[in-house]
Amino acid sequence: MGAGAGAGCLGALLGIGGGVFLVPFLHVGSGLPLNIASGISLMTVIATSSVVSAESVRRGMTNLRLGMLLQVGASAAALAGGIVVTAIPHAILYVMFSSVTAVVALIMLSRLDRRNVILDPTIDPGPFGGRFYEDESGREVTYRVRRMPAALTVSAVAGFVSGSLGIGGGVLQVPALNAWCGVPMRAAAATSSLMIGVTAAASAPIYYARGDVSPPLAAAAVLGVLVGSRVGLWIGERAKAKWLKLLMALVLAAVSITYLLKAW
Amino acid sequence: MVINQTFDVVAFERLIAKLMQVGGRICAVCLVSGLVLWMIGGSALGWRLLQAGLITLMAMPALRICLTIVESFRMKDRLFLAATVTVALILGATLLYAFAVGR
Repeated sequence: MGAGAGAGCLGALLGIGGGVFLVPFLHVGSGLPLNIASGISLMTVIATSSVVSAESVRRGMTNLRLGMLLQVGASAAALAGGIVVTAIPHAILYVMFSSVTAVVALIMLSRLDRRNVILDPTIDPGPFGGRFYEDESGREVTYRVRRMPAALTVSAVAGFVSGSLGIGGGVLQVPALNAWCGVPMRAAAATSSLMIGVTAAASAPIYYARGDVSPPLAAAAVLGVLVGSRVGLWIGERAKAKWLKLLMALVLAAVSITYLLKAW
Repeated sequence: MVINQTFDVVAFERLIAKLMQVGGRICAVCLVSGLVLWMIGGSALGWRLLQAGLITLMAMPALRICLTIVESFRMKDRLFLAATVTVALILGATLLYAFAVGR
């Protein structure tokens, strides 16, 4: 339950779901088989998403239209990941995941002071962009979405990683939407927090049907996450975007090293 | 993109958020009571409540998508509607595969 609370807090803070912390903890730290750790983690990702996305949508930061478009590839890939995971050697997945997270961490670190918002709210946000009230500038800001093919590709990759490793795909999606596609950090995290739940739901029933979800362990982790994600939301509203980016880069670096060591 | 201005998206989103909150509470109640009963004596009721909580949890994103279909339909936004319906179909395929695995 404590692991769930910690994972939920960090997951909500960064909009990435807690799975990226919970899977290594349950698998490496507690010695559970990877399929069980992944099954439990998917449940906590859905729980984080349900708590965080309801609040983010209410605050108008979620780009639902963009999210649903990206969700098509993410869900399809998550379903595929959930089906084929039993046939993939885990070492290959670890190396892939380690490389991707390392690259994304470097991108985040190189863009700590870059902002994607346009302060004039009358400017057309384009077909997939949006507007939201930004606390930091104290007014409504506009953003446009660039490089849609990149966003679609990353979402599909994130979906596959979610379905096969049981972590929320947000760990890939948030930095990609922010750094490559021009979506402000808060809007990217809010949109991703909605998407990770749906993505997890595209493979969680398969894990459940295989018997990879231990109900008591999953319940303890989910209850921990439900508490932790509220704490994360509270902190997230008060932290600066720059620090959120720095924290995410550090988390990604740690995840990258963990998975590289596991592949060894 | 053609958007139906008469449809109050914000109010509908608020309704969805409320429903998600209710779903979250039902799930939490099932999981807490199930976990307590299971820890006390490993009862069958406790196990069933745990399962009910987890199934409610997995159903929530699907419910969210179904409500988003209604939202995109009422907004008359075809791309949004097509994407949401496709996502719902994928979730349906997941469920069918899970049933086949579980048998």
